[in-house]
Amino acid sequence: MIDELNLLVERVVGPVRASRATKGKMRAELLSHVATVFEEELARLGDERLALERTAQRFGNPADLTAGLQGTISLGGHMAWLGDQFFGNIMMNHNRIYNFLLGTLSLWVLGGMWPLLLLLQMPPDARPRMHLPDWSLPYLAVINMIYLVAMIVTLISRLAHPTIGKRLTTAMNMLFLIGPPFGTVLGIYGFWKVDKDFKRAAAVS
Amino acid sequence: MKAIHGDKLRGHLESLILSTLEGGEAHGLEILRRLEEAGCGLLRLKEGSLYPALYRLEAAGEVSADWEAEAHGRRGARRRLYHLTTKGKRKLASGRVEWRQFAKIIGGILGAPA
Repeated sequence: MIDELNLLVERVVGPVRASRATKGKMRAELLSHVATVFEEELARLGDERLALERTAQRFGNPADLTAGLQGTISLGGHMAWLGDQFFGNIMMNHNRIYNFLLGTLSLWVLGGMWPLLLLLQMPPDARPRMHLPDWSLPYLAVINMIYLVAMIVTLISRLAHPTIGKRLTTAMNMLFLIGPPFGTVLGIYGFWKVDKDFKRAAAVS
Repeated sequence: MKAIHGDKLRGHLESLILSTLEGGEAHGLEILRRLEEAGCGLLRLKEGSLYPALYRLEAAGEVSADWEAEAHGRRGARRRLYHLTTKGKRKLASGRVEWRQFAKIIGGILGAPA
């Protein structure tokens, strides 16, 4: 019966936009309340089903109670809820973290391409002094371009078509391993943590 | 006498809660019991609606709350005990003055002075 009581409380507290801590406090307090009321009603009526119905009736309409609780949440509480949504639902998922890092790295490589292309368009004697030999610049530009295209294609397919995206991610991770330092780190992270839900789903089926 | 439902208590619930806490600290269900007793069983409040009012009072510093040290009941639920703060006592005093004025004015209009 505790599951039904939890459900009763969850219907009220679940939709409230507040921090996890605040909602946890509300859940605990309201569960304590309905559990006590349920015990009272069970002792009076002697039937669990009837006692549960009566408890829900005494507790009130869930939508009204949710609205009431929501009204007690300050602006700071709303901001904490947004933070929880972001860090709890988005950042705590390795697939999404990987997508985010892939997107960030793509932008970073794209940003690095412009100075490289500008250098290539300059006559060799007009280029500033660099540690890299002149002959390596076109190769460097091609390698960067390959990484950039591969990362963008992988990211788009991960978002649009996860099954194909997963295969491309494996290939991308291999390519990353030979691209130190950030690529190697992301490649290791990709092999270690990303797309594990595919393996779990395959094991279940 | 007819029962008084929650919608008629709107605007007064917080003062009523503060008033029940004058009798000492209490958890939510105990506050409801005190209200029911004081209202001779005629106050009909949806029990869940007490908590938003309690949270508002707590946010305003008019009550403070602590979790009970020991679990209660067969299900081992812990309850929060609410206490009236000094600010809450002041709010209750001003709430009483406001209510007397309100009752006097409305009573005068209805031809039934308080």
